[in-house]
Formats: sequence, C-alpha cells, structure tokens
Amino acid sequence: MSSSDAQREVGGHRGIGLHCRGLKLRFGRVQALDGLDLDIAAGESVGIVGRNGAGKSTLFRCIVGTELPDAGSVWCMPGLSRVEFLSRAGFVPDTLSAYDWMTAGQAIDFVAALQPRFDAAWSAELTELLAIDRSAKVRTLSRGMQARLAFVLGLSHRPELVLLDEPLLGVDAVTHDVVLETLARMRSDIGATMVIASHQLGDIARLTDRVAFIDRGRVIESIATDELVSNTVRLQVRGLPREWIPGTGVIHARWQGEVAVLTVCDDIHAIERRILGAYPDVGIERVALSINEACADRLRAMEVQP
Amino acid sequence: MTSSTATSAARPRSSPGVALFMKDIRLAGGIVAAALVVLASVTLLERMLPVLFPEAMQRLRLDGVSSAACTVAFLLMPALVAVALSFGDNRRRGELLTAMLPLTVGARWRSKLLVLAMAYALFAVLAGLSWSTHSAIALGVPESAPWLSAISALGVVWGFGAVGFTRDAGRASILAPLLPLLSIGVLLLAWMGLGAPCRTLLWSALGFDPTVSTSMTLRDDGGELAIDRLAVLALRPLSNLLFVSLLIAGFWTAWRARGFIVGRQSASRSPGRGIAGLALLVALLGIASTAVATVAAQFRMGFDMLANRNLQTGYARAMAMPPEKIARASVEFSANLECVDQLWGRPFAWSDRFVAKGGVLRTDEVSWQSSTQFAEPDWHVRHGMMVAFRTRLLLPPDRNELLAAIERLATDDTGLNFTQRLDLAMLADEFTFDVPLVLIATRALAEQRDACEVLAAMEALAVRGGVMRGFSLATCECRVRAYERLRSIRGEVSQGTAGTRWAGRLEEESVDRALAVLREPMSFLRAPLDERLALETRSAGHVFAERRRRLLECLDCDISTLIDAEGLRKE
Repeated sequence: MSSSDAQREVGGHRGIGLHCRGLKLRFGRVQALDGLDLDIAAGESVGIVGRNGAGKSTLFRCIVGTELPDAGSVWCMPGLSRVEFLSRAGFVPDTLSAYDWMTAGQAIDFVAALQPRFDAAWSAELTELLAIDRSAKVRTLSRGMQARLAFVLGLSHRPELVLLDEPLLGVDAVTHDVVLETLARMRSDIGATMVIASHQLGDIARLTDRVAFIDRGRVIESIATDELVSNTVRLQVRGLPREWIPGTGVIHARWQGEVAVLTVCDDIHAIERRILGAYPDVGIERVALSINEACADRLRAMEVQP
Repeated sequence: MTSSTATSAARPRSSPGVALFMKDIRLAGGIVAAALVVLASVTLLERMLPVLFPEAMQRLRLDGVSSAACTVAFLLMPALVAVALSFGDNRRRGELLTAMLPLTVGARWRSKLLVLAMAYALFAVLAGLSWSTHSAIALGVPESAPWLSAISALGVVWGFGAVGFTRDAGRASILAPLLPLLSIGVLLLAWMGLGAPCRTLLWSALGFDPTVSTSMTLRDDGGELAIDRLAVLALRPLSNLLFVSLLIAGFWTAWRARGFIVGRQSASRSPGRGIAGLALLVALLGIASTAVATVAAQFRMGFDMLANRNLQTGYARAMAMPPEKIARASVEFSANLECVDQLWGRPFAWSDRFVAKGGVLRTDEVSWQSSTQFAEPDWHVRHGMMVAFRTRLLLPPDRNELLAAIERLATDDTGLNFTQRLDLAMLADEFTFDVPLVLIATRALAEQRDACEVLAAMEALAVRGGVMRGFSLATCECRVRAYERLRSIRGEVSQGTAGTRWAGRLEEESVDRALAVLREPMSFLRAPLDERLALETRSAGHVFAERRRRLLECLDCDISTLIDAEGLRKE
C-alpha cells in the first residue's frame, strides 16, 4: 500500500489508515487473537463488535503496542516509527490509564509534557466540555468521571487515528451526547480515522462506516453499517416444518413455538421465494430489525459456526 | 462545571524528561520514605532507650542496631525500588498512561535507572555514615563493602527480574516484601544466636573449618595481627559462582521482561515464566541468606578487628613500659580482669593456655567473654597489657627486673592498698616467685588489722598460681594448707637454709604469730565478716558474697585434728 493510499486529507488534516495482518496472541491457554486480519482505510470509521472475550481489547493493546503479538503485524504507514505512531494515534481504554496518586489536572499536565502534539486549546475545550475537575484525585473519580478523563487524556493531541475501547461506559446521557458530538467533530474537522469497540451498538451505528464482527480472535465478517441495518431482516414463518434446513442468506434461525424466526441478509426476496417454493402454505411476516438486534443475531450466528 | 475546571492552555509544560523523572520519583518515593522513617525510628530508639532505661539496655546491648538496619536497608531497598519501578507502569494497575505516550524505550529506562541510582546512592550513603559512626563495624567494612554493594546490585537486577516471575500486582505485592521478611527473619535468628551453630554445621558439612571465621592470633612480638579469613571469604569461590549464576539469571529474566517494565507487555508468557519463577525463588533465598551471612560476618569481623586492635594497642603499650610502671599498672588491669571473671562466674584459666601455647591467644578460648564486653574496648587494651605483662614475666631479661619491681611494690609502702599489693604478689607467686606473697600474707595474719585481710592472706597462702583456685576450698582446708606452707617457710627461716631469700625480710616472731592465728579457730572474725558480708551482698554482687559465705562456713573448725604436733598434715 502506498503512502497516498494510507492517508487521506480532510479539511486540511490527514487521517491515517491501519492494517492488521495475521495477529496471534496467546495468554496461557487462551488464544486471545487467532490470525486476525483487519484493514481500515484512512479517514474511515470502523466499529468493532464482538462478545466478551472475543479479543477486542487485546486487538487495541496490540495496536498501541502495550502487547506484542506472538505473530502477525500492525502497521499504518511505511516508515512510521512507533513513537511517531503514538504521537498521531490516540487511545481511550476501557479503564482509565492514570496514576491514582495524580489529580486529574496533573494527569493532563503529564500528558501535555510527554505528548509533543498536545493541543492545549483543544485539551482545555475538552476539559470544559466534559466538566473535568482538575483538582480531583484520580483515585476518587467515579466510573463516569474516569471515562471522561480517559477521553481527555487520549484525545488532547487531536489524533489522526482514534482508538476507542468502550469509551462511554458509565457516562451519563449528557456526557454521552457530548462525546459522540466531539467524535463526530473530530471526523469532520480533521478527518480522523476511528476504531470504536462498544457494546452500545446505537453509538456504533451513529459513528461508524463499517462494522467488523470479531469472534474467538478473528474478524468473522465486516459489513457497512448502513447495509447491516437495511440488509438484515427478521422473517417469522408459520407452518414451516422443523426438518427445514436453512440455506444461504439465513444467518440465524430459531423456533418460537410453531413459528420459525429467521434472520436473513443479502437477497431477502430470493430467500422468501425459496421458502414459499418448497412450502407454499407457510405464512411469512417480515419484521424490521434495530441495529442492536441485527448485531445480536449476527453474533449468535457466529457462535454456532465452528 | 466546577470552579476548579480550568484551561491548561496557559499552564507551562514541563520537559518530558522531568515529567518522567518526577513520575518515577513518585513511584519509588513511597517505599523509600517508609524505609527512611523506619531507619530514623531505629536510630532514635538506639539513642534514646539507653538514656531512658540504662540498666535494661546495658543487658540488651542495642549498640549497632541502627548500623545493622542501615546495612539491611542498603541490601534490600534498591531491589524493592526496582520492583516498584518495574510494576509502577504496568497495565495490571490500569496505568497505561506512560505506555501510550510517544516515548522511546530508552527515555523510559533512563528515568527509571536514574531514580534507581539515586535510591542506591542514598542507602549506600546512609549505610556508610552508620558504619563510620560505629567503629567496630567500620573496621569490617573495607573487607565486605564490595561484597555488600554487589549483593545490593544483584537485588536490583532481580527487582527488575521479578516481573518475569509474576506480572500480577497482587502477587507482586506479596513477592516484594518476601525478600526483606525472609532476610529479617534469618537475621533475627542469627541475632538470637541460632544462626551461628547452623552456619557451623553447614560449613563443617561443606568441609570448611568452622573456626576459621573466628580465630585471630597475637604474635609474640606484639607486631601486626593476622586475621584469618572469614568463613564467607573462605567460601568465596562458591559464593562467586552463586553470585554470577544469580546475576546471569537475573539479567536474563529482566531482559525478558524489559518491555513490560516500561509499560509494554512483552515479558515471557510461557515456559520461561516457570523457569524464571524457580530462579527467582532460588535468588531470593540466596540473596537473603548471603546478605544475612555477610552482615553477620561483617559485624563479627568488625568486632574481632576492634578487639584485636585494642589488644595490640595494650600489648604494645605494656611492652614499652618500664618494669616499675607495668608492675603498678598490672594491679589495675588484673583487677579489671578479675571483675570480668566474677561477673561471669567462670574459671579464669585462659592465661594458662596462653602460656602453654607460647603466646598465641585464640578468641575461641575466650569466647565465653560475651560480646557485651565489646562495648568496653578498654577491656581489650587491658587484656593486651596483661598478655604483655605475663610475656615479660616469662622472658628474660625483663623477668628479673619485673619481679624485683613487683616485690618492691608489694612489700614497701608505695601507696598501694593491701588488696592491690596482695594481687601483685599473687601474680608473682604464679610465676614461682613467692617471697612477696609470703611477706604480705604473714604480716597480715600476724597483725590482724582487718578480718578480710586475714582471710585473704590465709587464702593466698593456701593456694598457688592464681587467686581463683582457692574459690572452692573450705576454710579449714584453706587453713591447713596455709599452715603447712607457712610452717615449711618457718623451718627455712629458722634453719637459715634459704639465707639470702628470707634474710632481713621475714622475722621468726611474725611467722610464729601467723602460725598461731592459723592454728586456732577464727571465731573472732565472724562478727566483722558478717557485717562485711551484708555490705558486699548489696554492693559487690552475688559471687563475692558467696565466696565470703563459704569461708565463714567452717571458720570455727579445730584444725588440730588435721595436723600433728609438728604441724604436718595427718595421713
């Protein structure tokens, strides 16, 4: 990949792409990452979705370098050193990364001293937007306040690659909106590339262009966020015999009494025609899915796959 | 928004190096501060307790405890600081902050190593200061300081290497105090005296002579003392091998964990951790036992060297004295030695061994002298003077001059009291020169000026070769022996067989009066001795009182049943 492919200029700023190839990492008996491949274009926003223990946080730690993979590689741009990468990337971990003896202000000042691209004005704006009390000790902060501070610490240098691992855990509704607006602003203003792992799939839908489903340390499926909702439909089929075998396009099937509940994607009409062709007497009702339901069914589908 | 919410735009940004350094100072600051508080408390207690409880502290002898604490701190604290710095940035405490910042690994290591070097220097200086203020320990330092420094440095390597064993903060918090706890436990055992027999057994099992650690020699000419190598030094090849092995293992483990220490999770995860764990356990045990053995050896060596130096000083001083002066001084240091003997209630027999071995004095022969005596360095000076005095009594040309001086001091009016003169005379008597003793004892018996003088004179006549040998004799046996000896002398005096020996010194009349006193029951001494005994029980201690009481037991016995009409002991 050429340098021009990896970078995209938006509004005078450049986002950077990210590429993971064959990442493997084992913790004792647990294979946290098992040959994970992921390509994210410059300026793209990708949601990482997976069940607990699927490898999302481990993926982030491999990206920022706090874990070294047993195999595979992560790169952004040719010739970009780790130090340069960290100055252009910002990571908001699922738990606050700050020494508990510091105050919030000291933590911010610490980052300011060590982050060469630290943007004091932007940091001050974030601090104000998120109502961070600079005098509060880190160890005394509530879960929500810790999430806010983590957000400020990770993004005060206007990173071109934003890595967010459950950034909104424990935050109140107002802060939730502020964070989402801020992230949207960062995308529009500086064209930042974003990778967001979250169980709050509504946020994923609002912020991302694409969703990558991870299971057992591998990316199982990657799909555009718009398509995820529009192309995934639930069919409730009455009178379908239990020996019926779901074919292509049916990502999940279960029975509720006599009703077969099928989650289908791709060509929905073709699937309906296939069922009606085999069993003309069945009744089919199409039900629209929320993104939460769409994702949940895809995750369920991944579970039953070998 | 709170009022304290403020912009950081106007805040001055510190340099990256300073920020990292301050962060690492803060990581290590907690345990360093705690250690300093402990050291300060120990030093304060060491100074204050003897003032507040002088008698109790004299028995406990806390002298040197602060030096020991500083030494232990020097051995352990750099390692603990390394552990604190290793785990300070790791992700298990949620402290990815530094790891996520664009810093080179070198910058992170430099900051940690600088803090570590400062901690090492701080505790080295504290240990050095404590050693310099404790003369006994200071003497042992030149020998063991490099070894102590090396053990401390090894602890640092393993402080970083501990990460290879566990990357869990909980386990690390158990592991980190393990080293000091283990060391302190073994140190306490050694302190209580249990360590020495164990070490002796171990050294014997390894084929080393356990006495090499404690022997010291005093050459006849009083010249330079030869200190045998300490057992630790005798084990040096083994120690060096162990040390190098631990160092390599520590470096290997620390190298495996190098990324983790600066916030990157790159420590080994699989079989290496098991090996590292085993190596760490061995290292902890090795470091702790070696540290304790070294500290104990250092103290022992320091005390031995101080004792030897004082011995040498006393010996050299006494060898240079004119006969009259050393004879007079011997009263003082022999009395001092007798007090020590009375304190411990042990036979004061080392001097004979010294004589038998031709002037070689080994500390294991006087090992019964408690280490509490080391608090009184003057004791060893006097001891050295005594050795010199006895050497000069044995060897010509001093011998005759010295004996003449002793006789002059013992028999003439030279300002010495009866006890001092009798002590001097008994010293000479020990070297087969009994004229002064017989003169003094006979006059005391004949004049009967003091009950104690009469008893002491009788006892001195009854025994030969040292005051303590009469300790277990009953009074009547004492009287019989004294009577026999004096009667024999009476014969020499009257027959003139020893013409030049007694002529002009001993009158027949005095001898006869003394013999009469010895022959009759000594009931007239009971009242004054009872009175004296009551006083001595309070002031002079149990041993003196017991001795007097035993003399009183058969004060009234009629010894005529034990001797015949000619004054000879009946068969």
